[in-house]
Amino acid sequence: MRRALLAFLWRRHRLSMGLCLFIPLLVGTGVGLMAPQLQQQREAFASLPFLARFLGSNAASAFSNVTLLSFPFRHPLVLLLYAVFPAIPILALPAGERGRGGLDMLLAAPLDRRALVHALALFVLLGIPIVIAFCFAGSMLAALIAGELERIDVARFALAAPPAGALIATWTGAALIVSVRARNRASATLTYAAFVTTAFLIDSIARIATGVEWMAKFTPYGYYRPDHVILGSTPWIANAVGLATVGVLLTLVAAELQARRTSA
Amino acid sequence: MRTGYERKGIRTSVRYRSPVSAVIEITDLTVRFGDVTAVAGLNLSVESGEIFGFLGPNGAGKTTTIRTLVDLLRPTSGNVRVLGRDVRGGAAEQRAAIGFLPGDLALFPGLTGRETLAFFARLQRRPPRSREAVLDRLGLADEALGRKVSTYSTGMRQKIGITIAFQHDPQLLILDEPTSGLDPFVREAFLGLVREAPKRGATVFLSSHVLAEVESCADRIALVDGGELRLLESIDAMRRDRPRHVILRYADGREERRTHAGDPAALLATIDTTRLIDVEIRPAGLEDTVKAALQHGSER
Repeated sequence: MRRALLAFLWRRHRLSMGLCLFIPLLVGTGVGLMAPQLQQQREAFASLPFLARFLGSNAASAFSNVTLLSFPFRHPLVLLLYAVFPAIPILALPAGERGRGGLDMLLAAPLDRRALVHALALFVLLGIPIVIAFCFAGSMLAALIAGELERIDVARFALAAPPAGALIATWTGAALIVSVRARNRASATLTYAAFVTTAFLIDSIARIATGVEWMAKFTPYGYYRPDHVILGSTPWIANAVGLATVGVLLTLVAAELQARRTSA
Repeated sequence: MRTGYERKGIRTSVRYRSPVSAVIEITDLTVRFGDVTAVAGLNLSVESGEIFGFLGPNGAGKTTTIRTLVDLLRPTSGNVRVLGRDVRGGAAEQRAAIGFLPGDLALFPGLTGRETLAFFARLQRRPPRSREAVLDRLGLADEALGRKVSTYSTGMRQKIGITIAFQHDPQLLILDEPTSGLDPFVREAFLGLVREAPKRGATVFLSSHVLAEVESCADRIALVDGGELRLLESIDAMRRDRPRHVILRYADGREERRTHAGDPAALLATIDTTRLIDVEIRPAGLEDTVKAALQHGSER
């Protein structure tokens, strides 16, 4: 039964989810083309401290190889990808089908309410390695285009993959909570977009403004600093485990909420 | 002794009981949406092998009741037991033994007809033994099954929905307005499927507001209105008891019109046969009985 649902989800969402995967490759290509020039002008950019803080931990490292080449893991578009990728199937089911009427057919088929949520989480979970593989490929593509591939430590870039996967897991749980509570896809999308945008803005403000770094800790993005992971300046394991745990807990809560709903 | 139904003013010759053979047992079912009471203290029992017609005007609470039968809606109070178990969080085997057709059927537009049937067969966990026979009866061609359901007419979508409900030979069929969108020929074919279902041991719970259809196949009917049960009766009893319009014509040109319900022998005993030349007896339709029950309910 679960396999049938996974095949159904794959058939429905493979195109839109597949298109998302090109974002890290596009970012990687752009970064690869611009990286040599940006590095030449790093001193000029260092006079823009807010930009430096947004891009990296400090002005000196903002335009370093690692910082630039880690962009396919942490460009704003990629950060949004981490939230959008799980939301594509999850906001369509159960919220979308609840609004359209298809959920009645599925649950009466019969599909267990908890099993539905678990299958959705499993479907996204199976896609996470693909997303992070594309992010890694984006970084390698950037390094190749910039002529830096020989000089970077590829293994350290691979370390950025688990935190990225954990961040997607967190957004998966959040999307599930929103979807099981929403009446239809439109309301689920609006609510989820509000969550993601707020989290993104809070994290951006925490990066740019001085003295408010603590704000980032209230968003999933605050626990995700792949450039720091690559540089080895942050204990990434605790953050990744924390994000993944939050994702699992949110998924379990979503399954319970779906099971307890008065109306399917 | 008056039955519980009679005390509530519900017309019935059936005593409410919880028989061992009951496939559906609804006890004091109440469903409220905020201030609106959609179903108010409904009690019903549907026995194995029965075709049970569930009637009522729009907004009567039919679909709400049906959604509670398949756990798509949880009651505010009361119990719903299907196939001997509480429907809430029912076991997979229990739920796989139900064939369900919702009133507002929503199929998945990206799938073809054939893929839709295969997908639901996998969810139903039972081999779709009757699929080909049902498709054949409903006249859904192989060519049409290869097309995406988004290209289907309403009637074709309904045929797919009916096939999903019947394909795995369920023990219980719960069908909400199953003939909407079907042409008269397909409707007749569908009613044939319904009539045959009890022969293989299935029970049918059929909701409709097309009274003639229900009359043609159901063993018993329940009529709900305003979320309350107004009538619970076997079709045979309704046919026997429904009023008859009687016209008596005499040789002197007199014409006497009467309405008689109940035992026909009692009617014959009251007729003055002196110079009687013609008797015309017209049975009232099921509609009259239903209208009378609804009127009775609204006057209470």
